[in-house]
Amino acid sequence: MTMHSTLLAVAALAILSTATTGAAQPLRAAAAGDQIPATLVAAPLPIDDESEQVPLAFAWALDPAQPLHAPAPHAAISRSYWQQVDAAELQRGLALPLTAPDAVIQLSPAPGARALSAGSLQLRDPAGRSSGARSVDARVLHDAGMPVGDGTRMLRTGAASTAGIYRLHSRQARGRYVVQVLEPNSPLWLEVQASHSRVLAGGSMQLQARLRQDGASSLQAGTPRSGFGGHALLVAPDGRSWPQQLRPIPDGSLRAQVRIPADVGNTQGLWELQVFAQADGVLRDGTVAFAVALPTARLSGQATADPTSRRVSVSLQMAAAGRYEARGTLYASTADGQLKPVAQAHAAAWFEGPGQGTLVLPFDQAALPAGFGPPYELRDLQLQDQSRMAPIESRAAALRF
Amino acid sequence: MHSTALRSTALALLVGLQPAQAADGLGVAFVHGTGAHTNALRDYWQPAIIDSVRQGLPDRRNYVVINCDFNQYMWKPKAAGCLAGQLSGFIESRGITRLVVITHSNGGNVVRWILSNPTYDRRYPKIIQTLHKVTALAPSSAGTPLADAVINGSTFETLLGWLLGLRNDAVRQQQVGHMATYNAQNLYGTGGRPALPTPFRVVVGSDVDSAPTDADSYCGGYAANLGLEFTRNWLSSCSDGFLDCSSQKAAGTVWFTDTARTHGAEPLSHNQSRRACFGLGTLLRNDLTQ
Repeated sequence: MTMHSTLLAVAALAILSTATTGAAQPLRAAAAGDQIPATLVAAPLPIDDESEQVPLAFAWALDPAQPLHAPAPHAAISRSYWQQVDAAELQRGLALPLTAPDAVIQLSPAPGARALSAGSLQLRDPAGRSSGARSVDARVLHDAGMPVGDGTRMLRTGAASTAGIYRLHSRQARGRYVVQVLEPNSPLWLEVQASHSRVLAGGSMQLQARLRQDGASSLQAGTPRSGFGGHALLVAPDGRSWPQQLRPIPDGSLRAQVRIPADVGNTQGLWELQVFAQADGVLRDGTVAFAVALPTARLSGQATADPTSRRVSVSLQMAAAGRYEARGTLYASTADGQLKPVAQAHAAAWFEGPGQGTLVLPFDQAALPAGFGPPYELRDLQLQDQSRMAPIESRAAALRF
Repeated sequence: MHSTALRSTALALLVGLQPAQAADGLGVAFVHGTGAHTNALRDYWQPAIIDSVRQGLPDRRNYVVINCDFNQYMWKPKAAGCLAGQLSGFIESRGITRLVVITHSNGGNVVRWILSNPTYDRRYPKIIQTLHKVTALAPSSAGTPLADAVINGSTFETLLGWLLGLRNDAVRQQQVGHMATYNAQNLYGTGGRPALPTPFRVVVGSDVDSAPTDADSYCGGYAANLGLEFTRNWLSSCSDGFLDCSSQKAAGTVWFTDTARTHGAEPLSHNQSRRACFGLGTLLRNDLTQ
């Protein structure tokens, strides 16, 4: 992605109240995919809140030749699975189903568990023979930049290994471990996707999981596999979790309707949906992440835009103190009436509490490319709660002026 | 209520266009990757590459090696806040008018946070205005499956906390699914998203040499490359042992892929792309004034 020209400007918000002229007009009606809070809720600030108090605004030019589009929610692809096991399972021999050669097995001790040396671990192949797997310890992995826990060990079964049930043994095992298996050469992979990459607290979203097979001569790439089942877990950034029921649907995939709790806590970070799937002895786990926002504020539905100055004032309603930011993309028209992105603008300020407010997007600070002019459109208008790191509202098409 | 912010006295930050072309105002900042550093010059970069690059400055004193806690989420005060503080101090104290940032791995995400969120912190606008370009060495722009491998299975238990005890938010942030969401909502510069306000040029590491008989494997430390040879099993065929090439290329523009410019067309493993290996220091030095 390239910049057409870089034009930076910071505007003092002291001039906000007189920043735009013209009559207020309603924002466009919500479209599919927009996120708009129906009601607002009060919420405390994070305990360690250090929000900026100074109002700031900023704009820069975009290259009209670079089209913009909203990314689809991430689809996670997994050729791995993981499980928590106790020492007794490792002492007996933990069964690990493998579907392809050269698998990687990662063993990580939980707090208090005994770290296992290379000599104390045996991996037996489906015929019961020692597999001869190579292994490295946590120090080597740390040197490679992989911050595994102390005592972690990674094994490779090797290119000559066969598919089947392997057994991981250790008579010295004490405590609990996480065992993770990666099969980079397996034709079997799990695809997990949520319907949204953001959602409001108390809202819902759909989760879908498919087990796919590629590279097999008898099956078309991407063909759903039979006997597919599993379960899912909704995990909050603070570690709370809620089991989710995955139901099979006729196309061979699994689906869950996931309800997000209204009490989302105040730990920053993304939420996760973890899927644990199996089919005919094949295990696969996958995770997708998404943002959850408390609706502490919203756009009031009115904006004032001045086509001469290209400044846009958006009105806010707040239910909680915090630092809120509006951001959006300005599209301008070519001589033949095509709309292209020409500038990005952000404006943020601290608001003391419940009430109304205004933020002005200073598109005038970014030079308009030659050949572009009105009418303009404000697209991808978003309201962010910077204090709580929450994307509250988004509108793909907000205003034409 | 009409916001008190709207009626507040002016923040005198009305900054006009400032081409900032004075050569003697050229400075370079080295921004490390994941980790909490107090001596990144020694522990992360090593002096050889720093000294090689700063020879390209009109005033060789105009450099700074950043030391922050990038085990935090990118937006946290100890991460981007610390970076903003050290960059601002450098700009102010050295009279920098044209700043080049050279960053590695997750440092690219912290820099991209600042570029993508100019209204988050009063120091960000001046930094962005002064920033001439970012050279991102093997940035983890789309995360890495290795971060997922570290976090997977670490459930939270009331008495124990996170089972594997690895509540490192920078690792959590660099999981592939997490970076996809941050790229879609909080960061710019990836496909289909608005461009960053400053050029963000990427050097891509595409392979790992770890044969004990190959002298090239020893640049940057042989043991490190041995580990990368192992971890690359989590990655695609084009990777630097820690990041897929696709992740490195996910944001900004590709300046070059290692073998196209390095001595002997050698690949740069993830550790070698922050060291003076195969002429990288010279390439970065010669690019400073471009």
